[in-house]
Amino acid sequence: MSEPLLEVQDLKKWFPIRRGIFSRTVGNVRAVDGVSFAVGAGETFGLVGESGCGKSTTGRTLLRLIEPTGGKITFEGRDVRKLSRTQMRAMRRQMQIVFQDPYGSLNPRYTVRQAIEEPLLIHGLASSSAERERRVAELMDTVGLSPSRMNRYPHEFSGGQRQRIGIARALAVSPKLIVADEPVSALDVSVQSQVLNLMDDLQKQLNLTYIFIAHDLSVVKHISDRIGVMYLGKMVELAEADDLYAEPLHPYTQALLSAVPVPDPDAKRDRIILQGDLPSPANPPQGCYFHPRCKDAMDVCRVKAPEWREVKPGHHVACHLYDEERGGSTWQTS
Amino acid sequence: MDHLLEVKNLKTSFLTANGYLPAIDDVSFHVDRGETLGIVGESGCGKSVTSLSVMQLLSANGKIQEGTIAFNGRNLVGLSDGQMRKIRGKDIAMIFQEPMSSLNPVHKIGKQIAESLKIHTNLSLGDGKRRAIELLNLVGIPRAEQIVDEYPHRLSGGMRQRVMIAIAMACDPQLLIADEPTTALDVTIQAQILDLMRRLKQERQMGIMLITHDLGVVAEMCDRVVVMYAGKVVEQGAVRDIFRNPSHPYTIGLLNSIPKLKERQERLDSIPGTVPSIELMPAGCRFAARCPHATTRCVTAEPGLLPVSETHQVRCFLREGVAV
Repeated sequence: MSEPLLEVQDLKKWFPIRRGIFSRTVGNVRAVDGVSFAVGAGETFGLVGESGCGKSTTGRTLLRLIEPTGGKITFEGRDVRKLSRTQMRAMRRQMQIVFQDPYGSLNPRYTVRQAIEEPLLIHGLASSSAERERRVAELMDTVGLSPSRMNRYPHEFSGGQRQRIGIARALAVSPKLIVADEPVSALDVSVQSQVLNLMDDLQKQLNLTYIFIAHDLSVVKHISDRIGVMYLGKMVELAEADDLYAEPLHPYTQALLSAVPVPDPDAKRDRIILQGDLPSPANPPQGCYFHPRCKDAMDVCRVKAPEWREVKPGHHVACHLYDEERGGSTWQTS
Repeated sequence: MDHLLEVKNLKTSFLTANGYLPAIDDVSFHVDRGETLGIVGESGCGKSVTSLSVMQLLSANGKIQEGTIAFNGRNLVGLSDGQMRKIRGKDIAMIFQEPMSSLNPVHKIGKQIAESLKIHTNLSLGDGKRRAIELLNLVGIPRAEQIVDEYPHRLSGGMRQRVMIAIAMACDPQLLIADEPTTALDVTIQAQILDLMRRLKQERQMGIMLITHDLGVVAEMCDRVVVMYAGKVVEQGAVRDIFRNPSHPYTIGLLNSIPKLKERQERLDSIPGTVPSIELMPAGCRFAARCPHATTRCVTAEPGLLPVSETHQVRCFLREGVAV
């Protein structure tokens, strides 16, 4: 990996649960509970996991759209959490976000031109109206929309086109990092592939760094260089995309991968069907959070949380199966 | 023997500012007992309108203009509301995509399951509850005796979808229509639900009409597949026909645009453009504007369904003159 653009250490976001007339805090929902990773410049880092695993909260705390409870976020050597509001606003020129819902994330009363030029106005990036118009046209062209449609409203565009508008808006300030939170989940497959290809092209042209958050494993694998798998607020495994798919180490990653329906009627299916549901992050199980659903759970998993360790170069996992006292590298036998 | 469900030349239209416009046109297919038919396509292809037409649950501005829907040989089109109500929930049951909004939040789970039993059989209240617990057990809900007295908000999405299936199974239906039953669920929960549906189909020799956009789910669940595009059936065949020998350019494009888990692809294939809207439906082949093989003829004339093999048909001029 190249020099990290973004480094996240022990990131935490706890939402307090308040009860009673004095709103006393009676507990915490540990949405993100000690997540660490680094993203290199020009890289695509994928974050996967099921609903409630904290992947979107992670994405939002990075830009401080939600204030983190603990941990350290370093972007280009600067400690993001120490920045003042004004400094943070300036910092967001470098870090942008694209949201899932192309229907809900655009103001229906703004024309496409207004939507795309808003960030230019906020950051004072274009002095005259003519210059803004030129820039909007250029951005629309970049994302494959006809600039002749800049005075239309979002409802006149399809889902895929709206997602292109969202991307153009994020690109307006020429950021270095884009957090893409489920950018293609609301789209049909044929349109989804258009948007994925576009994101790929833009990355090459503009040397962008992506954090790509999604629940669809085949999409994440396609676009990412490295992938982190989250479960109940914790990172359980992190590896190069191909490595993770070829040799998933954590039993949760194994179950998740085996559950993806393969578009081939003759595919061999060794499906691991997980029992039960995700436990509540307000009241997580003792020990390893995954142990009540894990097929390989041992006694130690019920009492002690596993450590995060690198078991192969670049391949990290938090699971007692790979503890050193147990021979360390049992992955060779799996 | 008759097919369990046989739909012929179905045309369902909706009243718009420009008069009645067809959402689906000339749709024909059948479902047999103990088999799963997949209806696949993207948003706006008419797959949900097809299932709502079979159930006759169309909104007030929609109506079936042409065609027949034969269930066990009896045409459902033109039946009165009362007659249809006797079939719906009893012989034909349906589950929807949204397990969150399809359950009534102010009634207990047990009451909601017993409701269809109360309507279609003369079960007493006590028996109703006992049967509800049996059904919850059938769909694999743990602690059924307690869950039966819970309200829906206490359950997770996967559990609610199991409750929906329990309600659908209450009167032992012959046909289950499942409209995107796992789309709102996480993959590991989806795997549980698909497994459950497969088991129920085998145990009860039920026919399933599975509506989905997910080709992975189709490959795993279905015996036969109908591919729809912009309100028309563009290809149909046995599941292997569709995946091994896709013959319509749309089906081929769709299959190529899915990212594959197993292999590394630099670039995804995609289908340029978007689905035409119901108001601006082109005259010829509806896929022509996005098709890499389109000729001038495709723009003006519409192809019929042509045979590829005994089990496989495609609506494309490319098939013409090719020996079966």
